[in-house]
Amino acid sequence: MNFEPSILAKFKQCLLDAFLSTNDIHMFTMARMDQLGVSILDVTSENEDRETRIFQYLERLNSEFKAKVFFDLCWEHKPGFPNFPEAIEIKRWVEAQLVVGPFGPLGGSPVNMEDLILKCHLLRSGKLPFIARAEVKEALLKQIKGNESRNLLLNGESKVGLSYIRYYLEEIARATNAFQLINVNFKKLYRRVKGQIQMVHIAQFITGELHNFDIDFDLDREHSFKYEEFLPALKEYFSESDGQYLLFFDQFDISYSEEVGAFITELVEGVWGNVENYFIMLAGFTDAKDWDFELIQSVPAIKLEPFQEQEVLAFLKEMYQFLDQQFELEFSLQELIEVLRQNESFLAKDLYTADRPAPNVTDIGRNLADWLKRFKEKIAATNG
Amino acid sequence: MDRPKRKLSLKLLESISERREKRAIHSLSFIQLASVLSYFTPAYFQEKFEEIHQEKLSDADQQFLLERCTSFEAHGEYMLDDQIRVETLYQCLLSGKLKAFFRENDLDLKPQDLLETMLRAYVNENLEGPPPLADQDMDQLAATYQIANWFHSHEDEKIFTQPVLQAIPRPNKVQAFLKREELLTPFRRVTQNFMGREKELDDLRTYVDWLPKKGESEDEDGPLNIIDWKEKPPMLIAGIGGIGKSTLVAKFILEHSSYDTEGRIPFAYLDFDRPGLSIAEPLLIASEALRQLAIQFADTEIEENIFLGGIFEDIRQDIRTTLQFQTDAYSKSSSATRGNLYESILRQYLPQYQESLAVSTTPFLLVLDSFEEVQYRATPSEINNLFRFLDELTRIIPRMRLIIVGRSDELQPRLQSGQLQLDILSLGEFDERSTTGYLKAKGITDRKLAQKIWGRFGGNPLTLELAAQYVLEEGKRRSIHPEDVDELFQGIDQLRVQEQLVRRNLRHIKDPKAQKIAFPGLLIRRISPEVIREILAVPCGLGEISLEEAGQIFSALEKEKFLLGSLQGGIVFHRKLRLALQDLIKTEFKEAVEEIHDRAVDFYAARQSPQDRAEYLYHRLMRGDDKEIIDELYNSELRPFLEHVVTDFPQEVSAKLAHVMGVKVPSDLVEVIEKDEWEEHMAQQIEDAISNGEEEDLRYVLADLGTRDERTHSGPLPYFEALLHTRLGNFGQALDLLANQDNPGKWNLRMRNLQCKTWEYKDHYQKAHKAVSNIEAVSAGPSQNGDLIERLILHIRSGRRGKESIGPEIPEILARIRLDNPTLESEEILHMVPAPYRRATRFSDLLMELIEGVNEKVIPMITELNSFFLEETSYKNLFQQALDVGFDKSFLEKQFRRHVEASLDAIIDPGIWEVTLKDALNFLEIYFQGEEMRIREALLGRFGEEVSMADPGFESTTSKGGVKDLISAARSLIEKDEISKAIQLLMDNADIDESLYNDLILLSGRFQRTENARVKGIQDNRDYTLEINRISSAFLHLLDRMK
Repeated sequence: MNFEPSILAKFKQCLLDAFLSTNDIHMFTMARMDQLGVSILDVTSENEDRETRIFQYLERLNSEFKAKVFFDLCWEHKPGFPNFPEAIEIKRWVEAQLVVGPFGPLGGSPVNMEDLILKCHLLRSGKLPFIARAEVKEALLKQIKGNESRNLLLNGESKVGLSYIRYYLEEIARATNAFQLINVNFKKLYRRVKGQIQMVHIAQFITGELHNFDIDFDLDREHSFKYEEFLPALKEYFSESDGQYLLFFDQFDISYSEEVGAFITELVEGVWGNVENYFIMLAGFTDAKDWDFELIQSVPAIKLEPFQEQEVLAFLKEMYQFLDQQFELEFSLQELIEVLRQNESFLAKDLYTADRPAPNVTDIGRNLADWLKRFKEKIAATNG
Repeated sequence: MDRPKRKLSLKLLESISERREKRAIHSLSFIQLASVLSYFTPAYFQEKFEEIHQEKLSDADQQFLLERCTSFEAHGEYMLDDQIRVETLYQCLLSGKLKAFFRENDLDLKPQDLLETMLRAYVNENLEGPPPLADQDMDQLAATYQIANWFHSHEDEKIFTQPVLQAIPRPNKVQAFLKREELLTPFRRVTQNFMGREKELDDLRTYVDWLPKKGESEDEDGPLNIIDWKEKPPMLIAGIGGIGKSTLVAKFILEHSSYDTEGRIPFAYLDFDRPGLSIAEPLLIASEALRQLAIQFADTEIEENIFLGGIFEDIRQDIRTTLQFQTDAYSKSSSATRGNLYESILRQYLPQYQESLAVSTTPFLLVLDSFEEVQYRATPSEINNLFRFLDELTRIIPRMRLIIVGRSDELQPRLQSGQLQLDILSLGEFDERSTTGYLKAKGITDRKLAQKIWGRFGGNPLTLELAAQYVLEEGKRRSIHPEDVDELFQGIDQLRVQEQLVRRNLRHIKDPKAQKIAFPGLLIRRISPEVIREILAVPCGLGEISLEEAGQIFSALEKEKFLLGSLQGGIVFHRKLRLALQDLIKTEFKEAVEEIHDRAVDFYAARQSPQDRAEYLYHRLMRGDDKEIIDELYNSELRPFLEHVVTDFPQEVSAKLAHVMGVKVPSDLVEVIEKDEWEEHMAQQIEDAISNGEEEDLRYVLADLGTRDERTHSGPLPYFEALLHTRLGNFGQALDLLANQDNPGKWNLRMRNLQCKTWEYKDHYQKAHKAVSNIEAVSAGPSQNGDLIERLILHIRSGRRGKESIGPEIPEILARIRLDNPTLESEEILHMVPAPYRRATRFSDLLMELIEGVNEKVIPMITELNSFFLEETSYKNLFQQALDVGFDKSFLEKQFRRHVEASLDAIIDPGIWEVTLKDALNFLEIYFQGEEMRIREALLGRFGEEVSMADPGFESTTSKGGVKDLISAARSLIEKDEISKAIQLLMDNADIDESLYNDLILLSGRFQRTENARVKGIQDNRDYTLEINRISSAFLHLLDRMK
C-alpha cells in the first residue's frame, strides 16, 4: 500500500509531535530494522532540517511500500501515538483502503515482484477494481522474466476492458520499476495530430518518453523524417540501456499510416536480433492482413472476453477473506453477495444469463468501483 | 498485544446501497452536451453549459461527467467515453431531441475542431451532411474513421435504422479510402507545382493506351491477348538527376487515379530508393505491387472492384504462403517455383476471376522508380531475375505497362543482347512552363520572374535551383522584379554558370569564414565542427581554429539548404554540387585539394566505425592512392556508405570497387579492369549465376566470357568456366579445359571431381571413375574437406555404375580428411558434407560414421553406401523413361517438393534439361537408398504409374476406386465444416494428382491463416464465415478436378 501525499503529510505531523528529535526516531527505527530496512540517518542528510528529514524518510519508506509498516509500529509501540487526531485519521484511512489490499494478501507487507504482478486487484490508487485477467498477468510476468516471446497480442471486442489493462501496466511499472512503460496511445496522439497518425508522430512521442534519447535529426519537420534513421537510433538506445521497456500500442481504432503498421510489425518480428530489453504488447490490433503468416503463428495472443459471474464472485471472495483479516465481520460471504445482488447492478440477478448479450466490462468495473468507493467512505466515517 | 478488530455489521453493509441514486444517464443534459463535443476542458464545458441552460453545472454532476470521460492530461482535456456518446446520440435521435437540441443551440456551439465538425455533420439532421468519402482529405477521413468506429461498435445494429446514421460508413470502408489517399499523398506532394511537360505526358498516355492489334493474338475472343515485350517493350524514362522523371510519372498516376471508372488506370509504384524494397526476391516485389492494387480496388462503391481487390489480397497471401513453404530459407524462388505458383493461382481464382478479366481492358501500370539505385545494391542475377519475372507477368497480364525510371546505360547490356527492348522517353531540360512550376516549388512565385530566369539560364534543374536561391536571398534585401534579372546575374559566364552561382550564393553567408570553408571544402562528403577544424580550416585558408569557432562556421553553413543536406544520420555537402564542381575545384585549388584529402586520411585513420572507415577509404582513393588498397580496406560493413559514390572515382578505381563490392561492374568499365581481376569477376559471376538457379543466366555469363579471349590459366576461372560448359552440355569444351592442368593449383581436386561428373553425364563411367581414382596426384589444400568427401562419393558412384573396384582409394581419402581435421566432431563433419547429400539422411549418416573412423566397419559401410547407387542398366533405363515421357522442370519441381520436401533449386544447380534430370536421378537414388520403385515414383510420378502397377513389388496407396472414395470422404468432411480434416486426408494421401498438390498447400495455408486470425480475435466472425465459405467452395472445386 502506498500512502497518498495528504496522508503522508499527516503522518509527518504525528512524527514531529511524537518524537523529540531525529535521533529519537533513529533509535526507534533501529530497534525495528528487520521490518523497516533503513533508518532515518541512513537516507537523509544532516544538513537538512528535522521536518525535511522526516518527510524524506517517509517518502523513502513509502516508495518501498513500508509507510504503513512504520505507521503500525508507531501505533503499537510509541506511547501516546494513537491519541493524536491525525493518527486516528490515518488509521481510518488505512482501514478503508484495506477493503481489498491493492496487491493482495496484506497491503504494506513486503511484497515481491511476482506478487505485485499476479495479485494486483485494484488500480488507480485503489479506485478501480481489476477483476480476473489472470492470463494477462501471467503473460506480463513471463515477458519480464524473458521466459517467452517478447510479443503479446491482446484482442477483444470493443469495451471489453482494454483500457483497464493499460492502467494495470502503469500501476505495475510504477510499483515494480521492472520496466518503463511506453504507452503509445493512438487516441491520445490523435488528439494532437488531428489527422492520420504518421511514423513521425510515433517517433516524436517515443523520443519524448525515453530519458536522454538524443537523435541528431530533426523530428519537427514531418517531411524530412527518415524512418530508416530513426529505427537504428532507437535500437542503439535500447541496446545500450540497462533497463527494460514495454511498448504498449493501444487504441488501434484510430487511423494510422502504413509506415506505422510496418514499424510495429518490424518490432514484433524482432528485427534487432539480440536486443532483448524491449517487449511489445498490442491491444486491439485488428489489421491481420498486414501480418504475415509466420508472424501470426508465432505471436502469443490473448483474446479478452467479457466477465463471467464467477470471476466477479471470485473477486468478492478474495475481498471478503481479506476484510476478514482486518475486521470482525458480522456477515457471511453469502450475505455479502446477497446484499449486492439485490442492490448493485454489477451483480444483478439476470446480468450473466446466457440469453442476454454479454455484460459490458466497463459498466461492471465502473459500478463495482462506485460501490467500493461508497464502502470505503462508510468505513472511514464510522467509528470503530 | 493484538488490538481488538473493528466490527463491520450487516447493517453497515446494507446501508451502503441505500438511497442510491439511479440516473438515466442518456437523458442527463450535461451528458447530451458532452456527446456533441469532441474534447473539452472543464472550464469550457462549464461555460457552454451555462450559456445553454442558464445555470451552473453542480460539482457532483461535473465529477459524474468526468468519471465517464477519457482524460488527456497533457492538454487538461476530457472526452466522453465512446459508448456513452454513441448511446446518448442514438437515444436523442430516436426521441427527436437531437434535432431540437441543435436547432436551439448550434449558434452557441461552434465546432472546435475537425473531429467535432465531422461528428456534427454526421449526426445533425439540420445540416447537409458530410462530404462523400471520395472527396474527403486525409484529415477528414481520419476523423470519419474515428466516428465510424464509435458507431459501428454499438451492439445493436438497429442503430442504423436512423436515416441520419445510415450515412455513417463502415470503418473498413473508410479505411479503404484512407489507404488509397495514403498511397496517393506522396504523388500529390511532389506534383504540387507541376506545370508543362505536356508532350511527355502525351507520349506516356499513348504508350499506356496501346492495345495489341486484333488478329495477332491466339484467341481474339478470349480475355487474354498474349503479348510479350518484343511487341510492346517497356518504357524507360531517362534524364539527368532532378529533371523531374519521378514527378512526371507521379503526375500521370494522379491524372488517372480519380474515382471515375472511366479512364482510371490502376498502378503499382515501386521506388527502389525506398529502403526495404529489395529485388532479391521478385515475389516480394509482387507482394508489394498487389498490396497497392488491392488498396486501389477496395473502394466499395463498385462491386466488381471489391471483388478484384479481395482477389489481389488473397493472391498476396498465397505468395507469402509459397515463400514460407520453401523449406530452404536461403533459396530464392526460381521461374519453376513461380510457374507452379502462377498455375495454382490461375486455377484457384480463374473461376471467380474470368468475368472480371473479360471486361478488364484497362491497362495496368507498373512503375519501377529510381532504377539506377538497383545497380549498386543487386547482383546481376538478381537484376536478371527481376526482368525474367516481369516478362512472366506480361504474359499473364498482357495489358501491364512497365515504366522504368532510371538511366539507359545500366540496361545497355540487355539492350545489346536483344534480351530487352525499350521505348525510351528522354526528359530534356525543363521547358518554360515546367520551369515556372519548378521555381514556384523553390519559392519563386512571380511567374514573369520565373520566365525571365528560364530565359537567362535554360532548364537545368541544378542551375535553376542555384539561381532561385540567389534571387530569394537578394529578395530579402530589396524587391526583385523580372527586369532586374539581367542585372542581377550580370557577369555570369554560361560555361561556368553553376560554379559562379554557387560562389554568388556563398556571398550571402554572413560569416566570411564559412564562405571560405564551403569552397573548396565541398569536395568532402561529411561535415561537422570537428571536420571543419581538423580537415578543412587550414587548407581553406583559415589557419588553426578552435572547436568553438568551427561550431559557429558549421551552424552558418547548416542554414544553407542549397549546400548541405542530411544523409545516413549525418550532414553532408550535396553530391550533385560536388559532382558538378569537383573538376573545377581540383584545377583551381590543386594544392588545397591535396591537403584536404591528406588531412581527411589522417583524421579518419584512427577511427573505427564502418562509416569512418568508408570515409578513410574514400579519401585515400580520391587522393590517388593505388586502387589495390581496396582489397585491404574494404569489407561488407562499408558497403552502405560507399554505394552512392561507386562511380565518383576514376574509371579503373570504380571498376575495382564495384567488383570488390560484388555488384555488377558497369559495362563501360569492364574493359578497363585488369585481366586477373576480370577473371575473378567472371568466376564470381558464374558462381552467382549458378546459385541463382536459372539456366538462362548461365548463357548470359557465357556470352560475357566471350568478350575477352586471353586467360591466365590460374585462379578460379578455369574451374568455373569448365563448370559453366558442363552445365550447358558443352561436355567436350569442359573436358578440354579440365584436361589442361598447367596451373590448377588449389582448384585441382575440384577440377578432377568435375571431370568425373562430366564423364558421367556422357555415360562414360570407367573414364569417370578413373578421374577420381588416383589420390596421390591430388594436391588438396586446407578447407577442401567438402571436395574430398564429394570425391569419395563420386568414386563409389562411378565405380558402381562402371563396375570398377572401389577398395584401396577409400582409406586414403579418409586418412586425408582425418589428417587435416584431427579433432572432428560429428556436427563439423556433417557441415563438411556437400549440401545436397546432407538431405539424404541415411546416406549422410553413413558418411559421417565412415569419417569418424571406426575402421573395422569400413567394408560393410562401403558396401551399404554402394548399394544406394543404381547399376548402369537400371540408371539408364530410368533416365530414358523420364526423357521419353517428356515432362518439364515444373513437373520435376512439384515432384521434389512433394517427395523430398525441398525445392529443386535447393538441391540441383541450373543446367540443360539432360544434366538436370541426371542430377535429379543421382539425388533420388541416395535419398531413397537405392530403392528403385520409390526412385521411379518420385521421379516419374503419374507417368510411372503404369510401370509401377505392373510391378508386383509395388503397391499403390489407393486404387482408382480409392480415389473416388477419397473424394467423397473429403467432400463429406467439407460439408460438415471439417475443413482441416479434409486437408489432412488429402495431404496424407500419396496418390493425389501432382498438379493439385500445390493448390492444396495454398488452400491449407489460407485456411490456417483464417483460423489463426479468428482464434486470436484479429478477424471478426462475419469476415471469418465469409472466408471459410470461400475456402470451402475452392476445396469443392479442387475435388471436382480430382475426378
